[in-house]
Amino acid sequence: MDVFDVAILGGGPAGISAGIYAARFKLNAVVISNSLGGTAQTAHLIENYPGFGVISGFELMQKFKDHLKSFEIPVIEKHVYSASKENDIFTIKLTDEEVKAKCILIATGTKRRKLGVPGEAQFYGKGVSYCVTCDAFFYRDKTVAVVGGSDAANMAAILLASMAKKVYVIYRKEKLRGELVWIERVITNPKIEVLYNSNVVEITGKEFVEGVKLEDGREISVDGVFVEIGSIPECCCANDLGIEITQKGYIQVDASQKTNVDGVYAAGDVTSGSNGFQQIVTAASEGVIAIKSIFDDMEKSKVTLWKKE
Amino acid sequence: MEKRIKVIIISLMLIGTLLMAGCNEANPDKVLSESDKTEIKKMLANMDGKVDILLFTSASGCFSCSKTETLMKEFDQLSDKISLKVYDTDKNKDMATKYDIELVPAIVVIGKEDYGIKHYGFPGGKEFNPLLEAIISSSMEGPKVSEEIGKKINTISNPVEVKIFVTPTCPSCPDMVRGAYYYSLVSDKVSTVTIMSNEFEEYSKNYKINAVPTIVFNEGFSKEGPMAEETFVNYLVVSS
Repeated sequence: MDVFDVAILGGGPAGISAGIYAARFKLNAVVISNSLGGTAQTAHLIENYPGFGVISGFELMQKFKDHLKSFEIPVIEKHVYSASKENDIFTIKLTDEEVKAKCILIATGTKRRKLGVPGEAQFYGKGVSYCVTCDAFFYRDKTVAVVGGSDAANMAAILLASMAKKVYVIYRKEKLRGELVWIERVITNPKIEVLYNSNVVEITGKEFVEGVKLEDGREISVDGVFVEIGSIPECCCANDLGIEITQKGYIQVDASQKTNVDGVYAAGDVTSGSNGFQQIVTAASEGVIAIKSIFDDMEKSKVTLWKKE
Repeated sequence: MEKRIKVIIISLMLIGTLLMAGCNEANPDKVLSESDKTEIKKMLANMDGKVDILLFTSASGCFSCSKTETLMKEFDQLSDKISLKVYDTDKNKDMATKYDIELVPAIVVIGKEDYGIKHYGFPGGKEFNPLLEAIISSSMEGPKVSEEIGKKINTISNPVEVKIFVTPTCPSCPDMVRGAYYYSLVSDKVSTVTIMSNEFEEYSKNYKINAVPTIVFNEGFSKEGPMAEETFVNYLVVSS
């Protein structure tokens, strides 16, 4: 079995950028991802990735993939189950095969945070959705709620307002947060009503969602609830390998994207890096920095074998 | 063979994005751009045998029949191993009945045999690639699956029809469709129908679809959201 120089776990902006730079540094790399393109693909519109003006998440990530393809980096589209390290070689277990590598770069991103209220699981797919680009179509001329107040929530509300009759944005704080461009569009859209200082405590209905109950006792009739309250890191293999995790659950990295475990690097939304500012552009940067660090360390490793100085 | 299929799949994932919108801005009368055609041609060069593509349309009214016919005729020109046959369901009732056509446009893929692969609606957005992969794979001797999955698939005792409801902007839908087509290719018990929910609102409502992907097994049990390969295969086994 081939032993790769680096196995890049994750196929979002960080993983793909890392793959491109790995090829440029002539590293023998493999990208492993069960969702090449990552969650960035679900973004309705991206207006802040330099050089692209306005572009959909899917289209931008397609361009990332095109770029990766031009380097003939192998891509394995499988789920990573675990990783272990023995004699300075990592073994990554996938659905039905193993990959061996001298070092790994964890760029597994995040998964959607759930509300954790009664009715949320019961009505998943029956009015509760975590993917506005997938499901907005089903709410044409209907009333929907978006829970959250970040950029993702604001973008979701704007997309839904183009189809739905009425959109409530339910947010726990007194001001929406994120880019002012999106906030302005939300608060000036006549179809959108923002309910500040409001918490959803229950999603109600019979077969499908019929409403939400708020903490202050109000009940609002809606046909759908889009949950956009951020994400939690997918720290793949962190426990397996003894990787240090921050209090908020992110992989602790230093400025060169190294973790506390020799030979393990991390990049993108899964890390504590970039001052916690999770953007496509920062994820891509972290992936690139990680590969440079790996390259440098491998050069040094001819003497030190990836031991930190 | 397995490696070759992997290469095809990865390459197909990277085909241009114009089909997302289902239009060719440079030439509105066409669907595929020149770069799309070049890329698809390369992929189709991997085909072993011939594949018949049956396109069912209706002159009496259909949301995307015209656009789908344009696309498939352009596609037909890209390989001499592709043979497109267009049927108006009003005039070809026998064929429509034979292939159990419920909606139009419908695309049926007949490769080395009829693997039970059908697509309702314009195959644009993210849904073009899984269909293209299925067309290429159906020209081959049959893809391999892992030993573990193969064993499970072999335990499917009775026919299972999988209906997958999708929209063209759903990122997790193509993986589910790709998986279902794959199981249809390796098992003569599994057939797959993909439905573009955005085109077939009433049909989707009949199945109480409110999210995509939603997968309906044998007109009964349904499951919303993406699922792992192993889970998908388990549902196939249980549904049989």
